[in-house]
Amino acid sequence: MSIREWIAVLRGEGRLRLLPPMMPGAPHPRLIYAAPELQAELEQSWDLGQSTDRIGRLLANLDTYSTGGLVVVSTGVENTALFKHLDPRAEEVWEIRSRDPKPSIRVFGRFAEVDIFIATHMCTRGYLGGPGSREWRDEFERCKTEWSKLFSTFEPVTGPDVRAYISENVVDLRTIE
Amino acid sequence: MSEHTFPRTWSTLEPSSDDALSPAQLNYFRERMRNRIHEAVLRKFLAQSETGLTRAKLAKRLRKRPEQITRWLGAPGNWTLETVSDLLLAMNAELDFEVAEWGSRHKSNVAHSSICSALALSETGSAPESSPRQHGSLVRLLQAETSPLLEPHAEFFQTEQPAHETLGNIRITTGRSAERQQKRGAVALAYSD
Repeated sequence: MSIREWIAVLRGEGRLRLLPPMMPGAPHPRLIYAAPELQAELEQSWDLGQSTDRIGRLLANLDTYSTGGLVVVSTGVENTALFKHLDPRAEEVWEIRSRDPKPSIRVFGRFAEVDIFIATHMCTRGYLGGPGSREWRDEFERCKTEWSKLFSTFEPVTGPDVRAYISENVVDLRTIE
Repeated sequence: MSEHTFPRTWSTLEPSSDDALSPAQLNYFRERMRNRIHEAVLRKFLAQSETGLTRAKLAKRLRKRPEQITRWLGAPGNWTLETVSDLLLAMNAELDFEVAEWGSRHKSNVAHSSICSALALSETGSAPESSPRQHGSLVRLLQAETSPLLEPHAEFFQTEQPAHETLGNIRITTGRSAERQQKRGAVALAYSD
């Protein structure tokens, strides 16, 4: 069974949910699947008017990826990209960053396949504290744990450069001279 | 709407002529515009970098540090209209403007290949002539047997080309655009007359 077929199984069981672009008719060349808890958190925030201003911004950032927009990726120390490959990179944990306005939000996840991102959970940057904090390590590990619950026999995507994760329309900040 | 599908629909975003715009609507589109402008500026930089433009040169023209240019190119976080103007001017460019009404927006027919797979289409050819689905209504197909994956696209299929109902009228586009899309794992769907 391929990981794509396994995703279909997870979706059938309600253990993964698709986050389509907000606007019907938008291109949808990349996919984001969310764990139900994350999906519920986003939905609740939207529907109940809780932090809807911030959630609106976050969803627009997610849609930049889903709709095939130009994605800036950081694989180094740069902190301003939409996607960041977290250290240690061999663990294949990524975050999507919605930085402005405060509170900055981080959506953790891994790539199941090129152009298919599995979002496990999200946190505010303030909660995470500084680099190397216990909270940060805990959320990093939580991402791996959630992945294991969903994809026990499947490994996340690994590759030599960003195009192994996002097939095109992607820029690695480290490559900009 | 399937319970497995995040109920984010146009109905939650569509500006109504009567109702006040919600904070969610306002902020979604503010961020969307910010991201689109950022993409336009970054594309210009990437294009000019192929002919020698560097962060250092841009920084020198703007009397900024290269690190600041990196931050600006990475994300539009603290951009102002002045930032956009400055960056583009430093690249001997400026924005062009065109206001588009929502009703006139072209709906895309580009989707990830797994969405197309759910429609039982191969990435390399049209639906087989003998497909048992060929004579069924596409709308019924979407409603009856598709995975929730397709639901966000149901509106496109239902409203974009209502005259073409059968799966047999869907084919993979064969132009260069489609080839590029297929290379990146996406497939363009098009309706044939």
